[in-house]
This record gives sequence, C-alpha cells and structure tokens, in this order.
Amino acid sequence: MRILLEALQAGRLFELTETSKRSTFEFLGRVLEAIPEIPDDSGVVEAMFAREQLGNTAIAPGVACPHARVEGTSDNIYCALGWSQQGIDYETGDNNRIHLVVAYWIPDGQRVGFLKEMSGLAKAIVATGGIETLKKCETLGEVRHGLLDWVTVALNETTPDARARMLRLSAKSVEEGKKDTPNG
Amino acid sequence: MSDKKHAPEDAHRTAQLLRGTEEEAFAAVGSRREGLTGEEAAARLEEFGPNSVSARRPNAIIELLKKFKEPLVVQLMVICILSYIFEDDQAQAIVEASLVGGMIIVSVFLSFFQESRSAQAIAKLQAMVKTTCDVLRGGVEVTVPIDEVVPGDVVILAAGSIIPADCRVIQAKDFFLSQSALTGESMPVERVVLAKVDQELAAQDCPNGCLMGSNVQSGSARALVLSTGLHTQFGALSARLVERKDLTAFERGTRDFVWLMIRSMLIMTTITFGLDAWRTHKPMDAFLFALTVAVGLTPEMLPMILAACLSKGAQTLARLKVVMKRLDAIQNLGAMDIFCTDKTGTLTQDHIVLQRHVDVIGRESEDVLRYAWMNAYYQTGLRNLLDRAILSRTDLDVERSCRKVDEIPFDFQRRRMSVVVEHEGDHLLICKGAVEEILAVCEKYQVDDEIHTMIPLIKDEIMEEYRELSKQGFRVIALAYREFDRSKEVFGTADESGLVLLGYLAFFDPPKETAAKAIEGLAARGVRAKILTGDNELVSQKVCADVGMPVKRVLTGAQLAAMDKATFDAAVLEADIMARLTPMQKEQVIRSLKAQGHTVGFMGDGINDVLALKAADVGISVDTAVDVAKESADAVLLEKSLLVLVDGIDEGRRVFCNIEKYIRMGASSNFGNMLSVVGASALLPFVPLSPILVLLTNFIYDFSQTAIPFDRVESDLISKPRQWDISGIRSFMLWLGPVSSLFDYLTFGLMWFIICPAVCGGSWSALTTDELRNKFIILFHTGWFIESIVTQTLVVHVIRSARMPFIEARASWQLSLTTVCAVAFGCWLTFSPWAGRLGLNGNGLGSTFWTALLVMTISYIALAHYVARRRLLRQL
Repeated sequence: MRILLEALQAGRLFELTETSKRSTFEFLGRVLEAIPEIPDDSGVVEAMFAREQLGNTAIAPGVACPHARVEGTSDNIYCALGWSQQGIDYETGDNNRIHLVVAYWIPDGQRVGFLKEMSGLAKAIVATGGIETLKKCETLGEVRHGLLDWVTVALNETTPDARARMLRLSAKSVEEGKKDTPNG
Repeated sequence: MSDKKHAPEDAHRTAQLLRGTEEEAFAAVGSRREGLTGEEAAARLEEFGPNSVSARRPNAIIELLKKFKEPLVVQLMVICILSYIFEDDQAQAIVEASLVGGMIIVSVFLSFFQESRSAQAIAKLQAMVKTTCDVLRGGVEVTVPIDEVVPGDVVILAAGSIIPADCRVIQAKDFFLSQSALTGESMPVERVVLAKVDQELAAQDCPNGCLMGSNVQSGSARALVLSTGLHTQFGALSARLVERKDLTAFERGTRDFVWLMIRSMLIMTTITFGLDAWRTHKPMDAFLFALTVAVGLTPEMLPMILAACLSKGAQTLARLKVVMKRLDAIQNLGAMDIFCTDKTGTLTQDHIVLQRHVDVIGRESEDVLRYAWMNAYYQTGLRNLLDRAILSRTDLDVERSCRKVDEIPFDFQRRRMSVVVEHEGDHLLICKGAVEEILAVCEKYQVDDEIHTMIPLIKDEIMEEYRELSKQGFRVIALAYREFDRSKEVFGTADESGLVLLGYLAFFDPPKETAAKAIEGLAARGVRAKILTGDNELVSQKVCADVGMPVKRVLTGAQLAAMDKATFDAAVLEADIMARLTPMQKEQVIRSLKAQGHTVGFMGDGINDVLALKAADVGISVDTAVDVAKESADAVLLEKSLLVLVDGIDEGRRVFCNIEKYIRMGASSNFGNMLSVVGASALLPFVPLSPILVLLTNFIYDFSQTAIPFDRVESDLISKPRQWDISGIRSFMLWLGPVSSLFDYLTFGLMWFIICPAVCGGSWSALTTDELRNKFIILFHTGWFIESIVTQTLVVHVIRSARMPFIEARASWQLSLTTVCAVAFGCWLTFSPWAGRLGLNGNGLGSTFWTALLVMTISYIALAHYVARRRLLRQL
C-alpha cells in the first residue's frame, strides 16, 4: 500500500469527468506519463488495454486496478488514482460501475512489489467496508481521506497473511541415492 | 485350464467370494496379502493354464470348413451341384464338376493357407507386444505378462492398467473403473474395499469387485485374483462380448464389390438363359450354359487374393516394426487421408526433461523443485514422464525426516494429484497438476517466504508467467501445498482446496529430428496431419512450428464444446491443432471427420486416447503405450516414429493397389467375356464356347492371377490415399468390358467368315453334314478359347498402371511368369492329347489365325491401355 500512499501524497488523485473505460485509461495514462521517472510515450494506455485482454482488472465492487507492465529496471512502481462519483462503465459484465480506478505503472523487475500491493489493497478493501464507505464522500478531499484510512488499515494489518515454513531437505549421498524409490 | 463349460458355476463362485469376508476369499484361493511365491505361481500356471480367453488356437479343420461359408464359394458349390445333377452326359458332368470343384478347392485352400500363415506371423508379432501386469510375488512387486497371472495372485493396479482377471479389491484409493466392455456402461464406477457385501449382488455389481475386461480410469488399488482365463466372467461371455468395430471402409468396399458382381451375374445369367433357351428350345441345356456363365462372372479368387495381399503386407510391415493386429487395417492405413495424433512422442522425442522450476513470478526456486520431487517420489499411481523427469533432477534424503501419510491419485477429471507427507509434526499436502486445475483450488500464493491472499487479478498476473513459459514451448504444470494438523490421517479430493500456490515446473520435450521429414512425407502422400492433444495450445503451436507443420487454425476443447454440430464439423475439418481436449472430445473429433467422408487414423499412447483409438478407422499405438491403448489399437508401432508410419502408409497403398488389380480385372474382363457370350448366343447357331471350355478358361485365368500379391506397384499410384471406389470399378467394367468384347466379336468374325470356312470347305450354311458342322464348331471354339485366354490374361499388364505396359511399367517377375505360363498352357492345351476330349483343335487353325491373333492382341492392349489410362489417371 506504500505505492498508493505515495500517489496520494504526490497529489495523483483526480476526479474523473468521463464515464467510459477508454477515456479513464487515457486520462490516467497521461497522468502517469507526466511523472518525470516515467518516459513519455511509453505506451501506458496500450499496455493497460493489452492487460485487460487477459482478464478484467476490477478487483472488488467499485474498485479496479488497471496496470501497464513495461520493460525496465526502475526500482519504483507508480500509480495514479481516478474517482468517479457516478461510476464508470468498466465492462465487468455484471453492470456494476467502478468508482475508484487505481492505474499502475510496473517495471518488469517489480512484479513482486505489485503482487504484494494488490494483496494488501484487497485486504484493506475487505477490512474497511470497501467502496460503500467512499461513496458517501461528497468531495475529492473526503475520498482522499478515506483512501488514507485504507492505507492505514492495510499497514496496520499483518502483511503477509503468513510466513512459509518450507521443508528443508538435503540431497542424498551417492550411496544412499542408489536405493530404490517406494514404488520401484 | 480345463475346457469344461462351467460358466454359471464360475460366476456364482466369483460372486460368493466377493460377497464373503476377505479372509474367506484368501482361504478359497489359497493366498495371503503378500501374494503367492514364485513356485506357487508356477505350479498354479501349470494347473490352471494361461490367463487368456483366446489361448487356444482355433481348430484348423473348423477354420478350413468356415471358408466354405463364403458367399462366393457357396455360389460356386451350388453351381457345381446343379450342373452335375442336370447334365445328361455323365462324363461331361464329371469333368465340369471337377473343374468347378477344382476352382473351389484352389480358392479355399489358398486363402486358408495364406490366412494361416499371416495368423502365425501376427501371433509371433503380437508376442512382441506384451501386455504386462504388476503382481506381488513373495511380498515383492514384480512385472509379469498378463497371461501368467494365476488365481491367488495379488495384483497392483493404477490408472491405465487393464484388470487382468476377476479380482477382489483388498486396498483402494479413489479407484475408478471403466466397465464398458463388460457392461456397456460408459461412466466409470468406483470400487472400494468392503469387509463383506450383505446384498445378493452379481459379481459385476459388487462394489469390491473388479472384473477382467475392465480398465482403471483413475486411482490405485491392490486386488486378489479370484479366477483367471475362461473361468472369468469375461471369458465365459467373451463370445457375446467381442467388441466389434463398425464396418471399416475396407469391409464396406469389399461387400459392395461382391454385391456388384452378384448383381451383374444374375442379370447376365438370366439374359443368357433366355436367349439360349429361345434359340435352341432346350431349356435344360440353356440352364446349364447359363450356370457356366455364372461361374465366369464369379470372382472366386477374391478371398485368396485378399488374404494373400493383406498377409504379405502384414509381413512387410512387420519388417518395418509395425505390428498389424487386424489385417484389414492395412488397407485403411493406405486409405487414410487424415492423421490425428497426440504430439507427445510422435512429433517430439518423448524424452522430457525438467528445464525450469520457478516461483509464481518466474524466479528459479529450489523449494519448488524440492516439493515437486517429494510429490513424484511418494506417488504410487501411474508414474509418468514428468515424474521421471523430476526424479532424475535431484535425489533428496527423505527417509530420515519424512513419512508418507496418504495419497490422492491422479485422474483425468481433476488433472492433478497429491501426496501427504509428515514432516516435523505437520502433515503437508503437496499437489501438482494442470495449471488451471491447481489455480482453481488455490486461495493463496507464496512469494519468497510470504504467503498472500489470491484474488482474480493476481491469478491473471500469475497465469502470465505460465503463458510465457508455454509460449517458449515448455510444458508447464503448477505446484501447490497446504499444511494440515497431524491428527488428520486420511485425505480425499475435498482436501485439495485452500492451497498455497508455490510455483511452476517447466518441462521440455524437444521435437524429433525425423518429425519434420515425416510431416513432409505425410503431406506429400496427401495425408493431412492434425494434433489432438490434452495439452495446451501454446505448447502445441510451438512444437508444430519447430517441425514445420503449417497451422492455420487452433481450437481448444472449450471452444469446441460451445459449438453446434454444423459449426463443430466445419471447425474440426479446418483446424490443425485441437488442444485441451478431453478423451471424449478426441473421440467426437474422429467421428465427425469420419462422418464427413474421411478415412481417419489416430495415434495415441495414453489411457485418454482409448476412445479415439477405437473410433478411428486405424487406431495406432506404440509398444510403450499403456496396456489398454495397445489393446484398443489396430496397429502397434514397435518404434515410436512417424517415419515408420509413412512407410506403413505406402505399404497399405501397395496392398490395396494389388487388390484393386484383381478387382478391375474381375469386373471388366469377365464382364466383357460374358457380353460376348450373350451376343454370340443371340447371333450364332451354336454356343460360342462349350460350358467346359468356359470353366477351363476361368480356371487358367484364375491361376494367372495368383501372383498379383507379389506384383510391384508404380510409385504414382501410391502418391494419394487409396480408397474403395465402386463407381470407378463400375466405370472400368462398363468401358473396358466392351473393349474386350469388341475383340471377341472380331475373333467371332474371323472364325465365322474366314478360318472355319477355309478349313471346313465352306460357310456354316453350306455345310451339310454333322461331321463338318461339328468340325466348324470345334474350330470356332478353339479360336475363341485361345483369344479369350490371351486377352483376358494379359490385360493385367494394362490395368496395373497408367503407364505404357511392358515398356514404361513392368510387372514383377512372378506375375510375368504366371501370365506367360497361363497363355502358353492355354495354347498348348489345344494341341495336347486332351484337346479332342475337350473339344479343341489347335492344329486346324493355321498361320492366318495366329497372325490375326498377334495383331488383335497388340491392338487390344493398345486400345485397352488408352481406355484404362484415362480411368487410372483420374484416380491419381
């Protein structure tokens, strides 16, 4: 959730005036490309649409996370947020409208960070009551505060869910290796 | 094993042993949980005989007598008896009956001899394709041929195994059987361990019984053998349960040809009888002559030619290491125009190596390798090539710190399997399988040592790694795990839920060096290759690209499932790759292609290929296939190479081309001769050839064709699939028959107007004495007898190829020899000491006749070649 926090601190939360998926992507794509660390014309919008072909990026009722995975070794993931009170048609197939769109720019080397961010966001949505809380906000500032609450909740929650205790086994010595397996 | 017919007692005993307690069953068959000792098994094999329902070879005399039931032989026998009964001249009756009888005997004995030889050859070859079974002997697991399984053995069964005998399950894990061969029920049934069955159930309904004729769909088990061989339910019912395939294209073609000839015979015989009776007013004589015409139109050597051609083909294929389990499948090999195959092992080396073991975002992970190794190490079901690849990658010291708790075997519905291992107080379920199936049961994923919640978006992201690996041509499976409390000891498929996705295993099966050449060879022969696989479409596309197989359309099982019938038919015909197919979809694809008029071959080696193998015109398997696949196939390749198959296709086409030669000859030449007989019956005041000479001509002509199976086949004739073409045969008959008849009429004219009047001293009407008229008739008969034998026999050189006979296309020495011998014998007979008794006189013909015969023969061959060539070229 640190990526989302960084975007809120940098003022990358905007009111969406259009209600189509394409215009939303184009708007947030331009916002991302305006970040100095992200190259101009890096094909963010196209990459987001290409990703959408694999599956819709709505992650919870009212919330979607379109993202562009790009080649690169940058250490940072960036995101920009769009808020629509009336909701945009995100083509989810269930007629539910999306109010919060969090668009990510992810260099190839930062996939782990993105997965963790998504898991954290999913937990925060569940823990805070999700989009219904935000829909009560009347101004963009209130939305921003609501989102900061999400970040706080997520950072206070135990992340990850658990730590793996993996089996540690050593390779057999040569003599032992000659023994048969259980079913021959 | 005793041959006594005591099936009801056997069935009753088997049911009793299944319903009683396990101890009673063990006691009844004198066995124990660790199985018999080797000595006990040997003694029982001696006592009970081999475990086979077809161990005894059929009695040769009965097999020979069965030959007399062939429709063509029955027809000849009826003619033989009728002509003997109704012929007034006793000596003539004996000679005629002897000639027809001789034809019957030659046809029957030659075909019996050829079939016996090929049966022996096939038996030898089939012995090379051993079906085996794992049994416990003295507590040790050993592999034995299925026919050496004896009552009291404890057999070890896994997915793909054939149930070798009637057995009682004594240990089972998610054990499902297909009993379709036994009960007709297509859905798998579960079999379990039961202390006792309280209800009065039949053996096949007992939940703890697994009977011969079934095969294991999934799971694993151990079972006690209660009865073997003919004492099993399957053995007792085998005669009723022999699963007959639909008529193959070859069988349908043979049947259609025989009926074409029988219809022609009935029409020609009726016309001949009518004309002759009208002319002579002697209905009995006309009837006898009509019978001989019937003999002339009977392709009595067809069974022999079929048997000899197919048998020779089987032996040639055996040298190529192709075992034909059904002889007539050879022709279907040649007729095949669509070849479907699973790619594993046919296009690829079938030598799978574990290339990468990565976490969910594609980083190399030792944890993934370690967990995969434990899964492969502890599983006891069907250990496949992927397991072997994993096990060969490392070898871990598990004995000191781990203990296997349970196993959830693989099946084709779940497409995953699990083992449960105890380690440091916890029970760890490790599950591996198809990526989609594993992801469906994962709720979390692991990155580094952190476990996070899985949401659909993350699932899509994680699938990206799988897609990338697949695109690179890797075969990818997923690995997941879940920890349970140590108090849980028994696990089932329901426990494969809430798993943690750990990563992927990427395998690589490099394309065979010969695959590209084989694909090219198939295309050059007009055979279109299609991939029907359970694997994913990306891997299949990569393999096809590597071997140069053009791919225009790729379909998945899910796409096919959503189509209506018309769309489905069009799509499967167009598609080159059909991926992610279920076993039933593979069968549906084959049936659809067959219904669209194609002759379809299918090559497969897994349990999931069995339905398709049975549905195909030619089911092809390999020696390393699972037992049930080998049993279902028509042909088994001892080398897993498509190049061998390409050779097999060529041989199948050669075989069919030679069969076609006889058929074209039989149809056109006999038809022409009989057209001549009918015409002559109307025009001449005497029969154009005495019945005995009609039979003799036919006999000599039959002899000349016995070498057809040994003839060579021109390369252009095998460049395309060869299928039965009854309309083509009819066209041959209707065009070439009249050509033959034209030269017969020329001979009639020559004899009637020139030769006979010159020798007898005047035309027929000018002759006043019976002696001179008789001389006229004998000379006429002799002339046509010789011309008929020469043209009818030599025509095989014309119809065997579209190329110029004798110059561009030469027959084999065997066929050349028999045709030359037949012509020489026919000519010699007219000069022989028996000539007079046969009503022949070669001495009276003179040089004019022989010169005219030479000219007519050359002209006939030239004209016949022109007519035949056009028809043959149409088939190329």
